[in-house]
Amino acid sequence: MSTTTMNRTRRPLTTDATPARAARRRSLAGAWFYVAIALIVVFCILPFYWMIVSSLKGPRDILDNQLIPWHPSLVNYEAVFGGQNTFALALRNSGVIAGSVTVIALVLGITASYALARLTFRAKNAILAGFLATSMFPGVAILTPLFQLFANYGWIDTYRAMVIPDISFALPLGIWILTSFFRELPWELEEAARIDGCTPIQAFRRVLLPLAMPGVFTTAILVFIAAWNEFMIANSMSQTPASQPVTVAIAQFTGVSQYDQPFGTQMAAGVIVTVPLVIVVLAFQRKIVSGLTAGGLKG
Amino acid sequence: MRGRRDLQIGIATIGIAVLALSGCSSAKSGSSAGASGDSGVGPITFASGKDLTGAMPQLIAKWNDLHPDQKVTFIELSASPDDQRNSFVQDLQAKSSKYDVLWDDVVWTAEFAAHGWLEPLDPAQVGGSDVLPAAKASATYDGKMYGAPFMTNAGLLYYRSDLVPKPPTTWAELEADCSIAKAHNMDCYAGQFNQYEGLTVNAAEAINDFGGSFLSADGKSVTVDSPQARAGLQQLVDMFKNGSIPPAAITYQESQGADAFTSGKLLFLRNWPYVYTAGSADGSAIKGKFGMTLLPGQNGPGISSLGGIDLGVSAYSKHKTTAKNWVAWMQSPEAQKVLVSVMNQASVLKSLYTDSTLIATSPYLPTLGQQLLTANPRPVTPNYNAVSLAIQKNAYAALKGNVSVDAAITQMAADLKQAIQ
Amino acid sequence: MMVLIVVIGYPIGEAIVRSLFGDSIGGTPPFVGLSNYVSALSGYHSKEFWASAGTTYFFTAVTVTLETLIGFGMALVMTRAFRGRGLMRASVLVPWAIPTAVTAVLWKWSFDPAGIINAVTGSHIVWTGSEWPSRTAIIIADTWKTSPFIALLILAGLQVIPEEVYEAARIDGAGAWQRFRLITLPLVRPALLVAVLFRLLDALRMYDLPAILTNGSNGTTTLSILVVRATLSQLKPGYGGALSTLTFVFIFVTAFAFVRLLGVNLVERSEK
Repeated sequence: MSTTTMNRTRRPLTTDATPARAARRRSLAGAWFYVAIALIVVFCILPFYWMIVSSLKGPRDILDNQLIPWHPSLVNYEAVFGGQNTFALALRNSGVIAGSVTVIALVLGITASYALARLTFRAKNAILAGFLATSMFPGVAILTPLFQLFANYGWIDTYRAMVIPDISFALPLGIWILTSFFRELPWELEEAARIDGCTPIQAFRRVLLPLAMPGVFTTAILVFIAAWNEFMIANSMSQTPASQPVTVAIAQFTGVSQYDQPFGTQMAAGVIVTVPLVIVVLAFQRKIVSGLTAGGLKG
Repeated sequence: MRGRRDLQIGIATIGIAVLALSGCSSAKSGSSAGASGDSGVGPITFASGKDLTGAMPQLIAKWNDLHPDQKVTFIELSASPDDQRNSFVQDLQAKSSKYDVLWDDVVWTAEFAAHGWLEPLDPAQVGGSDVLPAAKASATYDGKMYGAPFMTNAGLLYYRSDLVPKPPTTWAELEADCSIAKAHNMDCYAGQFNQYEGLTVNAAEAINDFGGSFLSADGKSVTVDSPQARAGLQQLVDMFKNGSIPPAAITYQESQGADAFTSGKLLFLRNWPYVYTAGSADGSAIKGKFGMTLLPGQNGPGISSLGGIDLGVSAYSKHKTTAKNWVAWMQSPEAQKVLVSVMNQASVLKSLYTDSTLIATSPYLPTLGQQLLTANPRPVTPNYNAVSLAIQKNAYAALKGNVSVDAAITQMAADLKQAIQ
Repeated sequence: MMVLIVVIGYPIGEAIVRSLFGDSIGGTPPFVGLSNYVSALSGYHSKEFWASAGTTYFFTAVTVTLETLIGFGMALVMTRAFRGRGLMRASVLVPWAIPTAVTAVLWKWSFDPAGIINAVTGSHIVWTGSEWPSRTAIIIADTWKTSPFIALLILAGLQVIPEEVYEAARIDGAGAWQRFRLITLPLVRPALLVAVLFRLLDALRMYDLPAILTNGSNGTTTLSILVVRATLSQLKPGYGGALSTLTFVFIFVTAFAFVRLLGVNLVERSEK
C-alpha cells in the first residue's frame, strides 16, 4: 500500500522494455516537447513582457513601440507609491482580504466537500446545483441590494463587506473542485487508518487530505487569485484608502489630466501586484509538494 | 425659521455681491448666521472627483477660515466620472446624508433632480447675470435650478499654426485645408468618435451646427428627425468617407486624438482646452506651432457642446443652508479664480475670460469665452444615459458606413423616443 | 454558512422581486408583473437582447473551446518532470494572476491603431473599429487570460493519476495517443468537466473585456453589458433585474444541459 501512495505523488522515471527504441522515440518526442514548452511560455509571457516594458517607459516614450525600453525610467513605479497614492496600504488590504477569503473558503469548502463526497444523502445533487446557481447570477445585479444591506449593518468600508461576498463567490468553485477530487480518493485507506486507531477526522486529515493536496492547492490558488483580483464588490464597498484593495487603488490612478489614462502607472502597478503573487504561489507550491511526498510515505 | 433662512440667504447673496465687486477675501460672506442644528447651518461634507491640483483643499481652507462654525470636509472620489456617479447614486438610493454637496457632471443634474435627490437652489444665489447662460440652462430642470454651475467646458479647434496660414471657420474651409495635411503626410482632422460619451458630444456639435436638435426644450418630445440633423451627421460621415478624418479616429477618445496632435501627426483636432498644457510643454513636438480657435461650422464658427460640473445640494443634507452658501461661494470670483489658475479649468463666470492676469497664463481664454457664449447644453433629461446611448449607437453606425445617414437618424429618433419614456 | 447564504441569497431574491416592478423616476415603483420580461424578449429592446445573447454565446463557444484545448496542452506539458518546470509554471500563472482590469487596459493599448500589435506585425488594422477585428481582439485577450485557469485545474487532475496505470498500458503496447485517449482522458475527466463548467459560467457573464476594449460597440455587446447599462447607467433596477434573471436562466439551462449531456457526475465515484 505504501508504494501505491508513493507512486501517486512521486514520479519515478519509467523503465522501458526496449531501451534503444524508446530512447529514439523519446528524443524525437523530446524535441516536440521543448517546442511546446517554448510556445506556451512565449504565449503567456509576451504580453506580460510588454507590460513590464511599458511600465519602464517615461511619459515621453510611452507611445513609441520600442520593444526594448532604451531609456528605462522608474517614474511609473515612483508614481505608484508616491504622492497621494496609498498603494502600500492597498497591498496590505488586498493581502488581508484575499488571505482570509482563501483560509475561510478552504475550511468551509473542505468540510462541505468531505460531507458531499463521503456521506450519502438524498439532497446532494440539489445542494451542489444550488451552490452552482449562485455563480450564475450577473454580479452587478446584486450590487445595489448588497450595498443597501451592508449599509444597514454599518459594514461599508470594512473588510468583512468584501470578505463575505468574496467567500460566497469562491465557495461554489471550491466545493465543486474539492468534491471532484475527494470523490476519487481511495476511501479504503480511511478504513485502514481507523483500524490503526485513528478517529475519522484524523484519518481524513492525515491520510486522505494529503492525497487530495493537488486539488486543495489548486483551489487555494484559484480562490486567492480570484479574491485578490476582485474589483466590482470592492469598488463599491470600500470608500476610503483604509479598506481599499489594490484593484480599486489601481482604478483610482490618474493621468496628467482627467482625459488621460495613466497607462504606464497602471502597468507598473500591475507588475508590482503580479510578481509577488506568482513568487508566493511558487514557494508555497514547492512546500506543499514536499509535504505531500512526506505525507504519502507515512501513509 | 423659514424667515431666518431667507434672511441668511439674503445676507449670503449680499456678501457674494460684495465679494464680486471687491474681489476681496476679507469680506465675511454668509457667516453671519450662528451655528445651530435646526437652522440648517453647521459642518458639511463636499465630494468632488479626484483633485489633481490641490485646488480643493486650498478653496476649503479659505472657506473654513471664514466660517469656523460651518467647516467643510473634503471627500475625494475617484477620477472616473462613472465611479463618481456610482458613489453618489449608491448613497442617495440609501438616503444617506454622507455627501452634503455633490459634484455633478452637467448631464447628471436633471436625473438626480428627478429622483428627488437634489435640493432646488435659488437662482438669485447661484444664477447671477455673470454666469454663462448655457451653464445655467444645463443646471435647470423643470424650471428650477438644481445645481450651482461651478466648472464649464467647451470644445475648441486646435490647428497647426506653422502649417495653416489662416485657421478655418467652416467645415468647407477645413476640408480644403486637408490638402496641407496630405502634403505633409499627416492626418487632417479628428475629434472623439469612439462609441462613448465623447461621440454624443461630437455628433451633437455637428447636428447643432446645421440647425438640428435632439429633444424639445422640455425634454419631453423628440425633434431629431429633421433634414438639419441629417445634414449635420452627413458632414461627419462624408469626412470619414473622403479621408478628411482618418479611419483610426473611429477608436479615438480624447487622449488618442490629443496624442496624435501633440506628436505632430494630425493637422486639426477638436478637443477640450486641456490639450494646451501638453502641447506647449517643453519637449512637445508642436510647442509654439499650434493655435486654438473656434470650432468650424456650416456657415461660420460652430457650436460646442457644453461640458462641466454643477455643485448640487443633497436632499438628505442636514445642513442645507450652509451647503447652499458653500456652493454659492464656490461660484464667487474669488473661488473661480482658483479654479482657473490652479485647477486649469474653465470658469462659469463671463467676466473671468477677459481677466488679463489669467489670460497671461492661459492665452486661449478669450477664444474659449467666445465659444462658451454660443455653447449648447447636451439634452437636459432625467434619462440622459439612455438618450446618450441612443445618439452614440446610431451616429456610430452611420460613421462606419453600416447604415445610411437617413436610416441612422430615423432609428435614432425611435430610440430616443423609447429612451425618454 | 448561514451568513453566506443570506449575503448571496438576499440580493438575488431582491433583484428578482424588483424585476416585477417598473422603473418610473420618483415615487414608489408600480407592480408591472412580467412586462419587463416581455419588453426584453419581444418588445422594443428584443432585437438588442437577442443580438447580445447571440454575441455572448458566440464568445463563450469560441473562447471556452480554445481555452480548453490550450489549457489541456499546457497541463500535459507541465505535468512532466523537466528542468525549469517551476519557471514554466510561473509563466503559466502570470496571465491569470494579473488583475482583469489591468489586462484589459493592456490589451486596449496593444490593439490601438498605433499600438504594439500593429507596429510588430506591420499592419494597419483598426482593431476596435469594426466587427470581426473587435471580436478577434476580445477572443485573443480572453483566451490568453483564462487558458491558465483550465490548465491549473487539469494539471491537478493529472497529478492524481497513478503512474503505474501508464506503465501497465505501456507494457501492454499502447501508443501515446492510445494512452491519452484510454487513460488520461477518462481519468482527468472530472477535473476537466468542472473546469469547463466554471469557464462556461464565467464566459456567459463576460463583461470587462468588451466593456473596456470596445464599450460594446461593433457587435460585442454581451448580456452582462446590457445588465450593467440598465442597472448602473440608466438606473432601471426593474428592467435590469429582469435582464439579470433572464441571463441567469440562460446560464442555468446551459449548465444543466452541459451537466446532463457530458455527465458531470460528482456524486457517484467514477468507475476505474
